Amino acid sequence: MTEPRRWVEVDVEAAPSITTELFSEDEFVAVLFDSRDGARHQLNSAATAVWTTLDGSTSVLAMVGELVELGVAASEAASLVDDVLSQFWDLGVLRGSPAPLFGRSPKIDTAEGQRLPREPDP
Amino acid sequence: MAVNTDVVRLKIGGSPVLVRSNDHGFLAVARRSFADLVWPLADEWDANDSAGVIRFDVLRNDTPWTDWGIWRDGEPCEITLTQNYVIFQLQWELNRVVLEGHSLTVHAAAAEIDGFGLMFPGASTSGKTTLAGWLGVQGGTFVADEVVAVRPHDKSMIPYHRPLGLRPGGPLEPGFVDLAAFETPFDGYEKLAPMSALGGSLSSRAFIAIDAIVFPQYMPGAIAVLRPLPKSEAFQRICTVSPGLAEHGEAVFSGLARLIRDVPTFELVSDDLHRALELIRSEISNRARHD
Repeated sequence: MTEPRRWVEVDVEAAPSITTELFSEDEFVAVLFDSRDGARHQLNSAATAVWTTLDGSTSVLAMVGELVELGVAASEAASLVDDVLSQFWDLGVLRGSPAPLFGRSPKIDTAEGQRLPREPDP
Repeated sequence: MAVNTDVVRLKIGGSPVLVRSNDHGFLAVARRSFADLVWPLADEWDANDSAGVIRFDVLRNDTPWTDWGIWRDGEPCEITLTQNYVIFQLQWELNRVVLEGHSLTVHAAAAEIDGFGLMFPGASTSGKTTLAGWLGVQGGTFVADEVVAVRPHDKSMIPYHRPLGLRPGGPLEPGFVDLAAFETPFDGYEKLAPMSALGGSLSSRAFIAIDAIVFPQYMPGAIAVLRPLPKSEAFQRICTVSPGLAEHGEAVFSGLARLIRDVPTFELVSDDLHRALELIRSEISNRARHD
């Protein structure tokens, strides 16, 4: 059985094959494009907030802090970041994560149901 | 097999295209069906030797039974076509010429009305062809169908006056289009009707500004509504109907994102063409007042 990944101990950033487009009309939404297989992934606002911090220098603890600043309860922020990062890993959109299988259906709305109470600051 | 010297000269996405056949009947139908794509200055290029000319040979073979083949510049495209599919396969090959010439393309129709350029992206049976055709005969101009090539730097579209593919029982047929007038020995599940033969107008400019993107949804019995579509939703929808995304990847992805951000996006749900036109005209009028 695989040991659960301890995100707090690693630096994470987006895979170089990913292009991100952000939309902030009604809510903050990121749409990712993976040039390896042409897959698109639309993230909800919580996942988008985490995604936009994946610059390779923001620590996972800092991500949790940013979510708390955006209004997510401190008791939930850590597990939310952990859950979102795990889904990013499974999608293959993080540096070092397994490449997606060609032709795999795009997964839409990562972390479904997790929505931020307000839009993040610009 | 000898190829007839009779030809049809077309202009497809700016490229000269020559269609030859060993069947006079086919060429007559092609000339009529693709009338709005005919190269305007046929004397300017030599039918056989011009560089850059794309040549399609559409050949009928009667041994041991009748079938058809299409060759492009000597390479086979399809070589066992039935008669009721050959002109539709040629139409698809012409679409492919447009697709090859431009990286940013959308499976869409387009029209201009009251000076407002509208793109109608959508899957088959969404109503995009019907809408563009309807606007073309209701005071607007027909811009394109099936493939809309976009110039990303100025957010304009390149006209492609292919014939409308009209199906029996479709929304344009009752009281408007007499499909019997377009019957040919080459008919399949739909008939190819050039806009000019429907009494409509064609855009005459080389590029048409995209002033709005409207995603049509033909829904029988629905109350007609034209409503703004959130940008992220519009982006997802246009990505699903952009053939160049798989081949050109990031450049097309980002180009589509810029287009969607900069151009108003709507969803039009309707089964009533008159009402759809009213809603579009009302929106254009509102925008003109605010500008």
